[in-house]
Amino acid sequence: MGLNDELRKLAESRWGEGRMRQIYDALAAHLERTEAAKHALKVGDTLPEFVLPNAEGRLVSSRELLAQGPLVVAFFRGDWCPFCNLTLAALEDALPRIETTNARLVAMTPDANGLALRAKHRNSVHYDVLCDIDNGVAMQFGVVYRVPDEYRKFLEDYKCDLGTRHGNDMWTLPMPSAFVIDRQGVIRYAFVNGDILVRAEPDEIIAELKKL
Amino acid sequence: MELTQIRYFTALARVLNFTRAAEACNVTQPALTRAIQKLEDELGGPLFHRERNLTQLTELGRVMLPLLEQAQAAAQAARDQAVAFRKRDSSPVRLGLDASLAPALLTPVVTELSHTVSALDLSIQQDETVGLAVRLLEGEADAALLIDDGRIPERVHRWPLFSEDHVVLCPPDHALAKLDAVPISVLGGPKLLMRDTDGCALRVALGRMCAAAGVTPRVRLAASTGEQIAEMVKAGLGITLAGARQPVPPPLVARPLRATDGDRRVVLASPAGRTHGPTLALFIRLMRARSWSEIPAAA
Repeated sequence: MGLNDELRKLAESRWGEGRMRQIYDALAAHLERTEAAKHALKVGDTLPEFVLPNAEGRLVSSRELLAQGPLVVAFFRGDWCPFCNLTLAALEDALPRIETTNARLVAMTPDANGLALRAKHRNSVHYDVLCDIDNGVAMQFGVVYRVPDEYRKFLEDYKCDLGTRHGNDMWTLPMPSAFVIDRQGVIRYAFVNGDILVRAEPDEIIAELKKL
Repeated sequence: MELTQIRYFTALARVLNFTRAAEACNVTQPALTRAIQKLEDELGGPLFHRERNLTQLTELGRVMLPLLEQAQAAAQAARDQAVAFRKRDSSPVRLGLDASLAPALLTPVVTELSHTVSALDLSIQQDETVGLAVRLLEGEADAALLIDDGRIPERVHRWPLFSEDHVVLCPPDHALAKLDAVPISVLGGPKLLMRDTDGCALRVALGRMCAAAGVTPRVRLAASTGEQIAEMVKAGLGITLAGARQPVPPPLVARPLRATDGDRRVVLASPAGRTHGPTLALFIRLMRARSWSEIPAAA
């Protein structure tokens, strides 16, 4: 069973036909209608250079990463999102196969205040989880959207305060997305979708890495 | 949300004229108009009132302007920092630390900076929160760890780091050391030693906690530094107050206060709207990213 099958299964078990499904459907429809994914970086674009703190408080730079081999960058929302947790765990399962291609994998979250470390522990992850403060890098990747009011209210009802989690009052999130970047810093694979249940399959990422 | 759309929006919000904004952004007016419409669609309503000769921000536009400027600045900052990091550019960092906070709080981040920034030029000054806030506003300090107890001016931007309770510090053989929690009435006792500096955050908190409990504190202003006070407590001259997550100087012991209003909010502060040099920007990122739950709580 692939990641996308597991995501759908998890959604079915948690959502049923209730309010949660309506809210997520509305979000996906909003991002589709506003063509949110259209602005994202595409195959052939150059990786925006970055230096970010990792979950353990060390600075990690894109240049140092690319010096070691190709790079996989995966954006996720935070450990408050069960679908992101499932994705992080699926990427962890795929890590040995990713590493056999000499590639490095990093995941990025706008969550600050040590929440990147919590996401890492919660999902027993061994790759770097970077803290993309204020979504600065995600903005450059073109994967950021402002949380619509209805979805914000829903998150607040569930005590998920993105203002506190991110340390700013912007209420922006990255679309869950994945990019494969070659050693020259050129994007060779880009997967961005406004539907949180549709994500890059780790097998697809590995297949792209093998082409490099 | 696309950076180009945001750039057009902030330009139009500045000049309030479609033609001039398009010129400033070096695009055609229809292209600028389309981009603004897309952004309005995403944000859920018009950002501008468009009248024949008058363009004005709507209420939504006014709310969005600072948020989108923040998003634009975040992307720019991420770019600038990466470039500065590659070029090994560094800039001086002048930090402040509230006198009731342990300098050890800064150690992990300063250590990381010393490993990654060549010729790190960093200074740390310990003082009271109020004085440090003034120094931030006057440009004499770049960032500070302060106690947010309502005395920091609005113009100073704050990122909450952690909150802590207050504890009483006493020698291990003191009667209070046998208690699990210390009643607030103890603060009305005769041997409470505190720092004598103006604006001491612990004394402000003491006043607040005692007022809430109807206790009149009897304070002896005994010394000007926390270290001196700790030495006096060790010598058996009295007890003192501290933040629960600050290191306890051995052999002293810390006992939690049974108080309702003892919350000490520790924030990272920096003047709003000021451009950060590359090293300061890295410092702020590292501070905001890290987990503050690792600070050992007092026993």
